[in-house]
Amino acid sequence: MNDDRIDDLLERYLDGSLTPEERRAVEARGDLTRRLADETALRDLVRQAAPRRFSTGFTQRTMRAVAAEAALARQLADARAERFGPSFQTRVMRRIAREQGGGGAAFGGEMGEMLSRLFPRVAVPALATACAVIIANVSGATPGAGLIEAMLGLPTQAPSELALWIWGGA
Amino acid sequence: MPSPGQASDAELIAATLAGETAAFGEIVRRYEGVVAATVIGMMGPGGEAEDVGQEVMIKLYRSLDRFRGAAQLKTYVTRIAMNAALDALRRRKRTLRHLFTPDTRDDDRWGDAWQDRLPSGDDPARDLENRQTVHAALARLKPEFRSVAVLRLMQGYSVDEVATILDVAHGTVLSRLSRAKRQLKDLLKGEYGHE
Repeated sequence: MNDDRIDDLLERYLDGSLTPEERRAVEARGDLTRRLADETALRDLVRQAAPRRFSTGFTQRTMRAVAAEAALARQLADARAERFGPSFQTRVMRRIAREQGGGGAAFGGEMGEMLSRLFPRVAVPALATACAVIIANVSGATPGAGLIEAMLGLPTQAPSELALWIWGGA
Repeated sequence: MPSPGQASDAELIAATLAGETAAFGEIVRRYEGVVAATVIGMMGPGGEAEDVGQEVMIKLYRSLDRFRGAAQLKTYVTRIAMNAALDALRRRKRTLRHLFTPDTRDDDRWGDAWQDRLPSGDDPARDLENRQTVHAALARLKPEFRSVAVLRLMQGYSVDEVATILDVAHGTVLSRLSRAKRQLKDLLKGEYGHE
């Protein structure tokens, strides 16, 4: 029998969870009964040192803290109950605007807000592209194209070459 | 519900969840000893252990609605207490010897704190000395061994219950317990003559 098996047997003996046969086998061995006596003495010694309570007034102090916790939880629950959903304010404002005949204004306001959010992502690249196309068209289609190109220091080739120059940085 | 003192744990939990804070007061009274044995066993006595004890009860209060009753409330409370004590020990990060040293705030209450918990024995001074010696020895164990010793030797949980509380395997409890006992015996040998 190895040490792990012996430890397991002794612990189970102390827990009272051995089968009758296992119990008899342990009690029949002198070395194990001596170890059991030793284990029991250590357990008794440590157990008698177990603190039985905290200092006087622990329950009262704890209950004061718990009461404060409960009061806070109630306040939070009340505060949650007093509110509608997160979009409640927006919906109310929209309805007021509609009833006052200002639906168009409200829509315009929302549209403006949306465009201002999208401007950096959409409008700047769009304007840059539009400028490139205009320049390309102008240089290829109008009689004064040579003058414009000369003013800008551009080569006087076909629009496709101009576009390559713009995008390729040549 | 019957009077709080005679109510079952399940009745007290139900009453607490229904808003009867006084019912939780009975739970605190009922399990103060379990929490004290766990927290003080792990941390030594003093103001910090009392704070952790209070924190344990508040955590228990907050988590009562999640307690399903699959385990005993005692095991559940002990698990919260052990986790809180281990967290506190990690926060504290002192050497093992310092772990036993009570808060400086409580230096003058050191003797009183233990005297307060003495059983009515023939020789209170001797009992006090015994307790201090045992706790000094426990404090020198590493937390993973101390936790097993506190739960198994001090509180009398079965090996399976210790495994559940610490969330480790049965075999791990046995090996830690074996090492903890060996170290404790070595530390206590001089005092008590245990082999």
